[in-house]
Amino acid sequence: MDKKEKMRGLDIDSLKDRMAGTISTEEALKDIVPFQYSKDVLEGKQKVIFSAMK
Amino acid sequence: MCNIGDIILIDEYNHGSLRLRHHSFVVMQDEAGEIRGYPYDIICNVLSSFRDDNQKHRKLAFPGNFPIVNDDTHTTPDNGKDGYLKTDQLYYFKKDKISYQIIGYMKPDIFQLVLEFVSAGEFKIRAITDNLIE
Repeated sequence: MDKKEKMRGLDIDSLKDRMAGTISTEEALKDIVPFQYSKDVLEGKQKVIFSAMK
Repeated sequence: MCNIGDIILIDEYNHGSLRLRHHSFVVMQDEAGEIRGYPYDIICNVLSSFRDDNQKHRKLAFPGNFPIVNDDTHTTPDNGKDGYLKTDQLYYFKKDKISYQIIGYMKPDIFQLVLEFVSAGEFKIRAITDNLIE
C-alpha cells in the first residue's frame, strides 16, 4: 500500500474511558533511547519507513 | 505540514527550563482540538530504539509498546535500529510551538495495525500536555 491518500488517525474519543491522567514529558522520556538517523535522512535525501517487526 | 502516519523529528522543544532535542514521533492524529483549555493540532506517539537485547525483551513485555523495524533504505535491515512505538502515551503538540522535520512515514498497513492494537488494548493511556503550556 502506498502512502498517497490521507489516512484515518487515532480515534481519541473512543479512548476516553482509558485515559489515566497526565504525566510530564520528563517522566515520559526518562527511559527513551532516541534513534540515530543517518545524515542522509536528516538532510531529507532518504526517508525512514517503519514497518512491523517479524 | 505533517500528516497522519508521518515520522517527525522534533529538533527542539521546551520542557520547563529544559530544552529537549532530537526525539522522533509518529503523528497519530492531526485534527485540532483543545485539552484542559490548551489548543493543540497534532497528537503523537514517541519512538524509541532498543539499548540492548535485555531492554528489548523488557520493553516489548509492556502491553502498550508496539514493535517496529526501521526500514531506512540507507542501511541494511539488521542495523540495530529496531524499536517500538509507545502507544500508551499521547503527546499533544501545537506545531507552531515546536521545531520539527518530517523524516519519513509509517507504512499505511502497519499504521492501521497500530490503530487496531491501541483500540483492542486494555492498557491505560496517559496524556502529555506540558508542551502546550507557555
